[in-house]
Amino acid sequence: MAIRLGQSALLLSLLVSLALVGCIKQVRSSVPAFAQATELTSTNVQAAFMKVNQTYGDAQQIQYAVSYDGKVDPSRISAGWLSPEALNVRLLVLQGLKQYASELSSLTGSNDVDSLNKASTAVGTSLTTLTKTAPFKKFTGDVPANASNQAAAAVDALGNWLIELKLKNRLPTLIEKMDPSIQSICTLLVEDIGSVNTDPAQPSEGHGLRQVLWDQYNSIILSQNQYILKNQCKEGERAPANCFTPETRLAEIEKLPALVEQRNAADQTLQQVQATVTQLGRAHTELLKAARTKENLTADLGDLLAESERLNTYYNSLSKKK
Amino acid sequence: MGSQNVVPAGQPTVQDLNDAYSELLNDLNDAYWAASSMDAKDQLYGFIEAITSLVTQLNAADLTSRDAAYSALAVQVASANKQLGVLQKQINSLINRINTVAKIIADVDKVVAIAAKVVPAV
Repeated sequence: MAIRLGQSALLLSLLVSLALVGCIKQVRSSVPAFAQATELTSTNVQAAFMKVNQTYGDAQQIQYAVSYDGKVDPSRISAGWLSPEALNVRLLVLQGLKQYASELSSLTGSNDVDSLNKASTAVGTSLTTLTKTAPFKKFTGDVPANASNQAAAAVDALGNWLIELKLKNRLPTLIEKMDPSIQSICTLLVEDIGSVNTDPAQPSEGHGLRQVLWDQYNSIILSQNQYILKNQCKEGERAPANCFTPETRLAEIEKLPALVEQRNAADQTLQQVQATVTQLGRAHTELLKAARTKENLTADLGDLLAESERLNTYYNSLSKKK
Repeated sequence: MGSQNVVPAGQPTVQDLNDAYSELLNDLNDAYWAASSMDAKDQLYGFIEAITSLVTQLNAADLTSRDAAYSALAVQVASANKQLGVLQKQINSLINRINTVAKIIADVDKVVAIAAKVVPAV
């Protein structure tokens, strides 16, 4: 009886072990694909932020030139859509996501674990320090209070996770532990970007970075229009009597629809960032499911990659709309 | 959102104030393109710049938790609202579209009422 009980216990523990090994194996096969998709996504989101900021900066230089009155300090025009500090906070949070994905991937058997660990500790320290800085508090403060508290805790948790990462055999638990934080970070990014132009009768209504970008582009468009009107030749007047030649006037007028197109493209890029980040959150949830069961992740990663590719197309199209 | 020119019941939020300014911004923008004289366009452009800057600040500052940002914004709101009082008086002569004029006057009333509740220093 004792032997049979012992055998049963052994069999049971073997079955449990096999199930766990199967589960871990399943997760291990999904994790590198998830890591690659996350890295690509985070890189594209970082690039989208930088590209929108840069394109806006270029447009703002037009505004500076056309409304030049000698009273605005040129160093102020670099303030742009996002200040360097505000941009950096967002880029660093995304860097944390990339590092998380790399670490997950390394745990499933990749090569250079030592240098990954060093990179993780560095990014982890940056993230935990970041949560205490004023630009970060501003970043999380722009979203509703409950989301902002969760987001601050989430970035802190991500930082600590990267610093304290040690175990190889607790992969499903580690993924499970990080899921709420990953979801909070994705929510924060989506809220941060906000909305605009949802009602055609009230295009400026909205909130967040999309609204700021939209309104500021409109302001640039009006400045350009003011410049054209103020430099058109009055009746009987001819260029160069402080007014445009017909060719110059035409070239300046052509900039108006180009700026509108650039505003719309920048806004679409930000909308696509939201769609991509939302999909990233979903993919992590699916990774968690794969850690618990034996589901296949391919479909969700396919969606994430598709959104990420689309984002790449949008922000690259911004360079062409000048 | 806030397109009915009705001040929300109870304590309005920062987002209500943002919506009210955005509504005014949309109507000022329509008025700018409708205005035929350069003087009118200049004045409307000035108002639009001021409101755009305010909406940017509203997005950047969480009024309830940041004292410094709150104080800076309260000053800016007070100054913009003062300009809006001037706008209300001049608006008839700036544009000819009756509907747009009426809408801007109502927008300004709404903004001033909400701002007084959201930014009490105003």
